[in-house]
Amino acid sequence: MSSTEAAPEGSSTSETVVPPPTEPPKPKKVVVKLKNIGDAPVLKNKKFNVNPTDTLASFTAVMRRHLKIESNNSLFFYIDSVFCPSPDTTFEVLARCYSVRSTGDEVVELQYSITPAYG
Amino acid sequence: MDYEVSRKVWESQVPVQFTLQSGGTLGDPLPYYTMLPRFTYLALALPKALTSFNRREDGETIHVEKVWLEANGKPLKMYIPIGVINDQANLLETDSILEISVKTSTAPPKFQMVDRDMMEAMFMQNIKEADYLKTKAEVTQSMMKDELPQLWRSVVNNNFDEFWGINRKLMETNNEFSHVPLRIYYKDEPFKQALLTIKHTDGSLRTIGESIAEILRLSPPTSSESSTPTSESSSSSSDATPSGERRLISHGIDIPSHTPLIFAAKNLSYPDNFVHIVISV
Repeated sequence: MSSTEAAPEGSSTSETVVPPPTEPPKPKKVVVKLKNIGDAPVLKNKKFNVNPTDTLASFTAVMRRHLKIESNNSLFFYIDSVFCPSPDTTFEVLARCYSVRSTGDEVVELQYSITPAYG
Repeated sequence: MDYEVSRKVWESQVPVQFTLQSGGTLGDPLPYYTMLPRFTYLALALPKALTSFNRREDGETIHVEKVWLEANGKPLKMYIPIGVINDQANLLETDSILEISVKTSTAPPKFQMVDRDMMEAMFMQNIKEADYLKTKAEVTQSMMKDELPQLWRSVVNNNFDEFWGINRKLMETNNEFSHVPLRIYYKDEPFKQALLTIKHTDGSLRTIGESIAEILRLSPPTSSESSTPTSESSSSSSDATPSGERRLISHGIDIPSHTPLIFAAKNLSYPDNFVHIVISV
């Protein structure tokens, strides 16, 4: 009884809830792997999924809270132990330019330090 | 490297007006007008503007760490070369003078004060990133300890010959650049960047227009204008001329889209070794 009642209801809603075909696919999160260098505190969870539109500046603000680093202390992120990307580098840019393949998945590897490293 | 082009790029300047909006009892001081090289940074220019504001008698002294900067109603990014800030502002309105408001109110969270020392550090990191793209950082890692700081000093002191004495090493490399350091700016969104080789797989030179199309292919500008006429015939006609209408601006010049990317990399790079192009989509 109830199943026959539910059937027309279900079919009427499915007609209206057809997803618009023009909707762009949701941007994929960027997988980020962190590694501490020097005296930087160690993270329990080293993997993060970051929105591609997030910038390194906003990520740094979040990681400061994670790592409990006070605002008057520094936190630097490095790519390939060579350079610090500019603060308004988005994770989309990091993924496009500097991602590496580790066990099949594309990841952005960042090293973090509380003192300037690598000259 | 084309000496004439590099020299002209180095020598081009933009007129800048700094106004102080302090809301003090004496009213605000007169604006400070100056000509700034396109390659320089606000971190270097701001102290002089403040010195001018602080010169008047009985006025409250304005400290550099207490202010924040705004242009066209948006907080400024102090670590972007002034030429890029100027090109962004000129796309919005055709004023040729860059108007910068110095504010003493509480800075918005998006604003980051960058002093001279921070700017030096950021500048050198930018050079390392550019060299990482070009040579996997081979050149910077073989440089002598003082050469990167010397590059920065030549920017601070506006010394073209000293700058190119060292910059030549970053530009005239043993092997072709693997990738060209190119950043594109659209409105006030964060810059976009991709891995761009100087040649296509068939050996032909990649152009600036193709490079920008390639960057935008995977990451179109996010802020779509609500006023865009979509379902009208005008949109189909604009599709017929793909990217034909897009302006590509660097150093205040409309860059022809057929310019080879390698020419831009060698001759139109800012001192940080990136080519910075402001686009109108």
